[in-house]
Amino acid sequence: MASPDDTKKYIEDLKKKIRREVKTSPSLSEDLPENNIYNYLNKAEQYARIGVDVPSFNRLSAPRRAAYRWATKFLFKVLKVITINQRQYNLSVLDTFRININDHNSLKLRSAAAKTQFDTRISELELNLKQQNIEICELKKVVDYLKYSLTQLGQKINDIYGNVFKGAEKVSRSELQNLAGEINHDLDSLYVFLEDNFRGSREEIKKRLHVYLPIIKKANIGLKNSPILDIGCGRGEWLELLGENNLNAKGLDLNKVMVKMCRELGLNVIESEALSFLKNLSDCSLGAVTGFHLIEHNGFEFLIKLLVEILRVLKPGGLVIFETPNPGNVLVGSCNFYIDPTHFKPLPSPLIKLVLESCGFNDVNIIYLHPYEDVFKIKNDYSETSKRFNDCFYGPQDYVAIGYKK
Amino acid sequence: MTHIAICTPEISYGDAVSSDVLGMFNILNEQNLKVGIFAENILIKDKTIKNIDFISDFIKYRKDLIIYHHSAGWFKGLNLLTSLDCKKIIKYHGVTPPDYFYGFSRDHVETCKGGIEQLNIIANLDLEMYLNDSRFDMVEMISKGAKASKCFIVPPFNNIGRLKGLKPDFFILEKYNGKEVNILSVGRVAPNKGFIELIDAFALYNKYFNKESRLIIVGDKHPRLSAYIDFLYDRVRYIGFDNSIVFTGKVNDEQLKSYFLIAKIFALTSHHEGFCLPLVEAMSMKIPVIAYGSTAVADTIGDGGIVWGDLDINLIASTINEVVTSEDVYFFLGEAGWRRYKNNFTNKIIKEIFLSVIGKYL
Repeated sequence: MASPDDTKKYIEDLKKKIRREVKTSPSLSEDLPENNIYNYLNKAEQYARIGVDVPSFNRLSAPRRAAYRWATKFLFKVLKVITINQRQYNLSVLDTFRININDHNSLKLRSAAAKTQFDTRISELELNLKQQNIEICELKKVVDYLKYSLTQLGQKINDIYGNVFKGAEKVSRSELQNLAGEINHDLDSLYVFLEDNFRGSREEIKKRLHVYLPIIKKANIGLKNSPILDIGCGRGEWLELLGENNLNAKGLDLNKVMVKMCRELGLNVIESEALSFLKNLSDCSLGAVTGFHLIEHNGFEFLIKLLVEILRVLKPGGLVIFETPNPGNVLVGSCNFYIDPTHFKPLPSPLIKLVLESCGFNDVNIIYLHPYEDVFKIKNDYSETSKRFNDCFYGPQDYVAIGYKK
Repeated sequence: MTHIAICTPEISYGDAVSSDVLGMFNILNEQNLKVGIFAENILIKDKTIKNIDFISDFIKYRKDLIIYHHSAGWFKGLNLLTSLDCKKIIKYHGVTPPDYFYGFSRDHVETCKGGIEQLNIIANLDLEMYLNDSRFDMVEMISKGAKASKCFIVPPFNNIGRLKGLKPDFFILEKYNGKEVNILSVGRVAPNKGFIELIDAFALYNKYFNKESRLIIVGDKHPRLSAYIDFLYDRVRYIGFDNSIVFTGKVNDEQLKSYFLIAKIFALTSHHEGFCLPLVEAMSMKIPVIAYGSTAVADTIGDGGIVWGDLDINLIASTINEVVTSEDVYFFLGEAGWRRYKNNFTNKIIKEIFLSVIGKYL
């Protein structure tokens, strides 16, 4: 095996050999396009200067050399005077060529760079345009639906007023109540439409809800004697997910359309108001009560009453899970929350934590969920301002409050 | 027990910083220490790697340790580094100067600028220790303000053991393992890598010495650098070598191994490297290495290959010819590279250096 010194020497010798070979052989790089141009220029420069240097005449004898040198010097002096302008012209043209070639090379690089910037800008604009088109299409759909619903509602209200004024004496109180109830349920299909358009697809929601399964499993609930009640079960994604995991669950909703949809999927759902349903349950009869995007639909007083009832019906070790929009995200708090016209008031997470604790729940935990995708955030800017902006505008859109009964 | 958090902005397969992070993690884990990897962009499916946002759940006491890998601008990481109250060690991998990217990619300029600015801050934080991939990186770290007494050279852990155990991609072997001499270069296609000079040197070699030769450039082609990549393609077309120069784009480990297997020689003309792991990979596979000795390149190759101090394409072309035509030279350089790897860059040796340097903080 060669020692390190031997290796070093071998490599140094090899390098010397290669260097010698490169020096003795004509420049390999002559034929490359740019090098070729420079080689031509160098040759041209040699010819442009001819007449400036006196030849050495080394092969001649001394007296003849002196005579030749003297004669050549004289001749060159004369020629210099005659060709001075031509030489100046030649050299200037060569310089101009060199400057042009250098400019050409740097322009080539710069135009390549400008093309990138241009392409980036165009793709940004195209992306913006695409997003705006999508938004416009969605808004058009909503406007069309609202127009249609308004016309229908107007028609119904006219009919009801007509009935009331024409024969109020003939309509019983219970019939009037039924009519009023029907007006409320006219909004049911609108709410389904809103949910379909703004909350996300069924699969997306199920994927998001997966996060709660470990919590449920850890608490060892969802058994026959500790069922889970999902208030405001909507399209029933959570109930479906629980069923798929062999967990015992039941849903409540006031929306007739949604209840019908859930039942068609074979889910155990009751059309009922939450508070009255809970009041009819016996103490310590449920393992968990869940509500996804529920508590923001009602007033504060209702929330307190609901929590008191939930605490009563939960078994010890049971838990409550409430997911709601996070007003700590500026876009949610100022705009997205109000996309759902049935939302009542945004609920900041510290308030909900406090309320759960005050109502008697233990180990109350707030978890922030669903931040915007990175594509929306300001990237490659490391300033504090950008960081805060991203946190405030594109941070978590929802949060969940979890509390346990001891 | 001391908790050790290894932090990096991004973790993915086939990237030198990630290999170092995973190598450190395995070594510290073997010592029965409580170790975690924390990153912002996680591109590896591994439950043990956690998002950087959860680091404060792991690092709670002053005796805990953060090993922070620095190679680019990372605002979140720097923020944590300054705010967490614990022991901190930097692992510096070198930051490419932004000048290479001006006009080609705004993103790359910003990331590199951020990296340099943050290097200035990190070097002056007077942390417990500054580990550097190479002498070149260490000199830079000291020049930015870090105390020389706290700076050490610890080469990055590598993936070579795993690479050697992988089955090659037979499609690549079949496609390129012919009579042509394959000249290989590995590295992302970026302006600092000096591929223009490599292409020109190859053109000379092909024209004057061996028509049956091929240049294979293995490396990621980032879409944001498309202007530079087009510039390279234009150059290849201009000199008429479309059929002899191959840009593979990003490859997986099996494909990378195949390219090493079909390579006769590994050539590098990069202008800036913090360490250059592909050189070590080539040396470990007994492939003769020739390179332009910029930045950390000469230190990494040592006497394991031929390093030129000037970037003369005539020299590079002639060197390729010398290595390819002389069997003695070919085998001598292959052995020299392998010895360089065996004596300096095996994970076992790096492990010893690493543990002896950071031992007192474990």
